[in-house]
Amino acid sequence: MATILTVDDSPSIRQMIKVVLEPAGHSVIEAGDGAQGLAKAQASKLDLVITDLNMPVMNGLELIRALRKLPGAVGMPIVFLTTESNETVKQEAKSAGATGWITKPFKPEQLLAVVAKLVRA
Amino acid sequence: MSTMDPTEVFRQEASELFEVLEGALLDLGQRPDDRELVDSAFRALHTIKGSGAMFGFDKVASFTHEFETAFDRVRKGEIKPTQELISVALAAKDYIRALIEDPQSTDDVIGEAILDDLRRFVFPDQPAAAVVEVAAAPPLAPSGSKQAGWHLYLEFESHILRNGSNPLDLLDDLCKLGPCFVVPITDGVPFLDELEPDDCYLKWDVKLHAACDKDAIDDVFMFVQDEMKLTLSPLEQVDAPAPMPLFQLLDEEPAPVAEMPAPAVQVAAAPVAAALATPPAAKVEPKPVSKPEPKPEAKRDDRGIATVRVQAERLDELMDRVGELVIAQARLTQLASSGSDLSIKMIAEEIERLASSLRDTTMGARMVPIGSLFGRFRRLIHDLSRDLSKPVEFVTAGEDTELDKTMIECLADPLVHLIRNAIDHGIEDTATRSANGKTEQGRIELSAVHSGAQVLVTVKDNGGGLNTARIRAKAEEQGLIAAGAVLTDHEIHQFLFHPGFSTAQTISALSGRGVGMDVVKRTIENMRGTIDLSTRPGQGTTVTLRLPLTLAIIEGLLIRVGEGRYIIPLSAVEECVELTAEEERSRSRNFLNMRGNLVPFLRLRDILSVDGSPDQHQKTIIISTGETQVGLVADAIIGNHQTVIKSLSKLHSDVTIFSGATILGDGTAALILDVAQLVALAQSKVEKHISEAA
Repeated sequence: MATILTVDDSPSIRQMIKVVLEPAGHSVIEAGDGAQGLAKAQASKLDLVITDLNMPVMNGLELIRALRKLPGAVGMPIVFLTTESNETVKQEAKSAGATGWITKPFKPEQLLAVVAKLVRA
Repeated sequence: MSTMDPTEVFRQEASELFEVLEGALLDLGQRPDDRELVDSAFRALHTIKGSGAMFGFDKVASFTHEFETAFDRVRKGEIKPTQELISVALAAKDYIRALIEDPQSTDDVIGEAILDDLRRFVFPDQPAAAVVEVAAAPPLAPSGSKQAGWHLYLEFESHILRNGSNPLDLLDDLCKLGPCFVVPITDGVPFLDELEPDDCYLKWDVKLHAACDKDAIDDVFMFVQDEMKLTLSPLEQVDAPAPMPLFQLLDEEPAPVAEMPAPAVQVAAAPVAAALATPPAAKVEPKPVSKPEPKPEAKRDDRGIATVRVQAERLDELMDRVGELVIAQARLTQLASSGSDLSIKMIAEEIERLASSLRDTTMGARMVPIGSLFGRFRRLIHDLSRDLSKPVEFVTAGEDTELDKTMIECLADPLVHLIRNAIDHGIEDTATRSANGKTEQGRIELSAVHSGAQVLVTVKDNGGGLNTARIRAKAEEQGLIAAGAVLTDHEIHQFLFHPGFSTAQTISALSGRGVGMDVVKRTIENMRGTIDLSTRPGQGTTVTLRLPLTLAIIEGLLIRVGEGRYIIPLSAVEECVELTAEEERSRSRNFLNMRGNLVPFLRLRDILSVDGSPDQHQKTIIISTGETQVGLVADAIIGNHQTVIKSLSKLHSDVTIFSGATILGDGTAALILDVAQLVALAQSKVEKHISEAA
């Protein structure tokens, strides 16, 4: 249904997102850091980006800011993954242009709920 | 990969992360001020913590959290990574590893002890602080049973659409809680020329006819709470029954109404949202599930360390299959081009493209950097230099150059021989060197570089150079040449590659036993490579190995000579020209004038002893091995051909001008011309020509 980009330096998190979202009918593109994520976002039309914040090369905040500058990504939902429940991180990511967040660890249903919330068929 | 259990992926990932962590910690012991190392260790910890919690490794997550908290002080530069701290950190790492790989063997007591140690280093001034869990505020319960629902007023910040939130979707979600009556408030909408299309100007007034939790409403707006004004008041039970949702679209803009009892202006939110957001048809008609796009490389380049070990034989087998595929594809292409069916042609082109990219990918999978090989020689040179008391500086370049895995293995022995020779025969002893005004320390350079479809590996020494006179004397003594025969220096040097030829006056333990150079040459030629020597007296010797990138498939130029067809490796081809009538006639002077340069040429018809009369317009293919250009005259040039190399049988091993054979699209065989041999042949003709003239 939707094309979703997952940006995370942890293959297991990407795999988790993949095995949850693919059976739900979404196609999942993977990227290992912000720079790769940005390149993939430029290369394909995305419906949602799920990104980690703490990553090598280009971190999640930088990625979100860069994505928001892409002409094609205005209004594209961007969700970040965070382990901290602390508000400053959330505020920083929100003001960078993020749409929402998922707190790690998350259960498959939580992920699906957030995706369903931001991606409409 | 997509079917792989994420937990299994996590285990693999964790073991890679542990290596990163361990490496960073150990390096940190050497370079305590390196920020990059601290960051990389911290990132590894952070990922282990986050992913561990995801996959049910709760102990891992909580332990790593403590570890991370402690390490954060190092990251912030508040404490120094001392050796003691690194030892404890390594112990902590081992403990986490055990928690993941063999949880039975671990004991919480050990974990606690490690954490205590960590805290002692990191928070020396305070006892370990207990983590205080802050309980969430108790949810506001819906007030009383008589409450019928909620009255909401929504106002969003103008940038909300740009950040990916859609108020209509949120209203949609609200409708899922119960029947909703939504009135948009349009007084904020500016005139058209002031309107920013990306801004949100509408506000909404919503009556939610459901006695749901306030939490449920908060959940709807969880991501935008800070970017909106939400006023929420309980809706009192009204006399009129809750109106049914009206599934009709608006014909006209509703007037901004705050409190109007008439149901006529109250419009069901769902259809509005649906009509504005997406066509409802999309909901009814499920699209076919699109396949996830192929992304094999994505996995590859995600992390430098993410690798899969594959048995070498499997890669070889894959290469063989690809080779056969390429042959079959060539036949298909030929068949398609001879017919007129356009659709077959299109498929043939598609398959050609796929086969060629499959070939490149397969070859790429076999490529390994040559640096691993270079590393082995450091020790060799160290030992040799000590044993022979010749101080030698060893310099390498181009370690990243990639070569076919099999070739790297085959290269080890030849390079050992060449390096031994360079130190033993090439580099002079210190007394001679200083007498000749050279530095006492000799120098050996080992380098690799890509050059077209070839890789050049050079072993260069700054020693005394080859002693041409001595080589000549030795060759005469062994009866390889008649005394007084006219030979070029280049020809004389070739005797070094003759079996059993050695000029070393004393046989040392290392070299000079007459085995070596001939074996080196044979090994290199078996790889379809060439070996070349160049030397300057007193300045040193350079041995250059030219190796093909791969052993199995090459791009070739298909030519015709008489009835026979032959392949010239495309990497050696520089250009194709037509032989002018004048050059055609000059049977004695076999030179072409190429933009002022005289280039010798060989008539393939003569060399291959082809009978009959040549084609009218003879073509010349200019080939080169680096410096030397040679023209080959053929009857016709047919075109490019993906050449799968089949080696010639032992019976034909003494046929020098062919390096192999291949199968053409129509199933017939073509021989592959050996460029190095042809160039050598042309050169010897030129040198004879010159010496005869002199």
